[in-house]
Amino acid sequence: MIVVTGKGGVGKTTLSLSLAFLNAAHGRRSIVAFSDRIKGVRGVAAGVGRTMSRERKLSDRVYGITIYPDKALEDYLKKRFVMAAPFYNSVFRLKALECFFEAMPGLKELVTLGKVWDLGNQKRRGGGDGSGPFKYDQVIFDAPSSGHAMPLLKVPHNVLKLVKSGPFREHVVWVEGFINNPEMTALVTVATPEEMARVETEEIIAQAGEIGIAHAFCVLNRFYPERFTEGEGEAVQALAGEGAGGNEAVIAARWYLERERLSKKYAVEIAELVEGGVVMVGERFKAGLDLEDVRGIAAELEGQLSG
Amino acid sequence: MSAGIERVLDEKRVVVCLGPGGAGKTTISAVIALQGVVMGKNTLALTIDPSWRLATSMGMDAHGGGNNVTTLKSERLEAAGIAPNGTLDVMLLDVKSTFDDLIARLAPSPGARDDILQNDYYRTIADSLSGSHEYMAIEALLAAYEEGGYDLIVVDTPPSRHFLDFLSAPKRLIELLDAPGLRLLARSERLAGSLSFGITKLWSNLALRAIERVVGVNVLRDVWNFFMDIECINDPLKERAERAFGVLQSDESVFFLVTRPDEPSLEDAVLLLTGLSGDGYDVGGVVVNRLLMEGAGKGGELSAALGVDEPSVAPDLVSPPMARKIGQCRAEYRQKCASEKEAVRKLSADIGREGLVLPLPELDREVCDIEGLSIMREILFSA
Repeated sequence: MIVVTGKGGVGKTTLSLSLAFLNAAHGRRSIVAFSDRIKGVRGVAAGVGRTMSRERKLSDRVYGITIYPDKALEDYLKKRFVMAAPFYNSVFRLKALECFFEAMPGLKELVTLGKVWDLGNQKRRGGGDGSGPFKYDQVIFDAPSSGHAMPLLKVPHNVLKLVKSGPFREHVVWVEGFINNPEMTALVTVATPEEMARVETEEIIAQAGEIGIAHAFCVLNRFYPERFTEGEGEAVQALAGEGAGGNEAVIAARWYLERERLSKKYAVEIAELVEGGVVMVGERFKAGLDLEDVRGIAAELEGQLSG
Repeated sequence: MSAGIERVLDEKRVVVCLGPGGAGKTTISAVIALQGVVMGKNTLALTIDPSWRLATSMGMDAHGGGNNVTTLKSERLEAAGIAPNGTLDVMLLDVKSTFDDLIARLAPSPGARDDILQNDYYRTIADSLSGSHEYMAIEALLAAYEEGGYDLIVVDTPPSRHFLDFLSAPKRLIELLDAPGLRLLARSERLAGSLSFGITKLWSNLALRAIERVVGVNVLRDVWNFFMDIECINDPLKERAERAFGVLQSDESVFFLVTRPDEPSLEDAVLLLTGLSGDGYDVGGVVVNRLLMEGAGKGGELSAALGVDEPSVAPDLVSPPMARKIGQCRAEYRQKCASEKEAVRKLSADIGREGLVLPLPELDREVCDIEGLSIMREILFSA
């Protein structure tokens, strides 16, 4: 399982999908578990809808599903109380119980994590006795933005302190088991070349360390690759100094230079923070992306993530 | 546009900035607060999670416990080009201590207060229960509104999964704390306890058995005690929250939405605007932050000299490869401008109300200090 997280608006959904397309290019099947209604990625939103309550094929070897915490909790409770199935509605529809489960910190989050994890445990049809190959080679969890994701990943840890017995504790231990196993779960952080995003990445990495979840790599999105040599950069600034500052081409070049400088600066700063390295994804120069862009990003990742 | 917002600020006492994470809520709320100061208002900027450098530049101790309020020195403001006609206080919200203060304020006796504050469950969940950040932001706002003596309070909201969480999450939380069903269960347990039947007697109750089977008995006890303990402050809690929402819906309050010029953020802004207006909240504007501005002086002599269009005529300063690079920058810049412009045009069309969209250009520097904020203030509020 890959958990993709980062500050709001840095491009987690796009990156999650790109990773899935990258897998597909290598013949691996993956499913992206969205934690929210899909926003923005036009090709996906228009092609398959903003929400997917069931697993759906988005492209060759690329699947998607939306996991809603409320629904996940309901399913979990139903499964736990198979014997009480006839009573389910009368018991669990009780306002008091609903409130109780709402008030139980982490219950929903843990169940959501469990549900995402279970996607990866499914066997391919035709395996018969269940010994066949897994249905998906990788589950990519497009997690909520880090303000929500890190509490979510921290939950097992906190809940174990509070819940000292009972089946829920077993569930928590199970979840903690796969989260803390670097062979099973890894975190991919997404950042942009900005101060706030760097700070947030630093926090995520620190918390991931506390929790014991492995960090695979960081994606620096909206990156402006180095284009001008130092001398050329100075020449551009000189042009602006000579009264050409209002010229569109000069404005554009200075704008690029500044983004280039920030991209370089934060690439270095973030590389110092993370183990596993930083991969860059270039700025797309538009307000909305489509599936073609996602494929392009996958190709960009390909070169940097060889293997 | 500027006259519009200035008038809005003049008439209102509470400004709330809502928007997705990363759009610049903290920055924009600080900019609005600075404008309040210039307009001669004694202003409070209530913030949740400012970037470190911003906090430091404002002279705040981001690691201090509790809700520390820092008054900015007028020399600091003046140095950044802000006329200190009013005062500026900055408050960094501490969720746990706001919650503690609220309970201390409402508890009928010191004993009742301590029971709640020392409950294990409360201590675990006070700042992690969903909605508690939003709830405490609103609580801190009410306290400042009623007791702070400010002319203007600018609230920066926590990053929420959905914008509307800022308003709906506290309601859900209050509903939860007030859950009549849970209280009933709690009471019957207390009753059973006093009759020395103990909790076992009640396990015949299916609902209890269900809870117990999922989370185990010790949690049940903690949660129970908590709900019994807070029963005594439930009504004042609700009454206070209602008062806070009353303030937000009154014509003394206004909401600003802050978004980035990308499609997902703009789509969300339209949804939020519709939701807010529908619920009777006043929206003063949608700040589209970090827009790329179209280049002013186009083409002409210099472009030719640069050789942007015809690399062969590049002068000494600009080599042909460099001219090609500049040309590429311009093409990308134009593409991004056009794409953002189209997205904003669509936003204006979807909103359908004149003058609500406030475009704010991307600065050619990072905004992480008062000087940066001061520049943004001039752009947003200059004629």
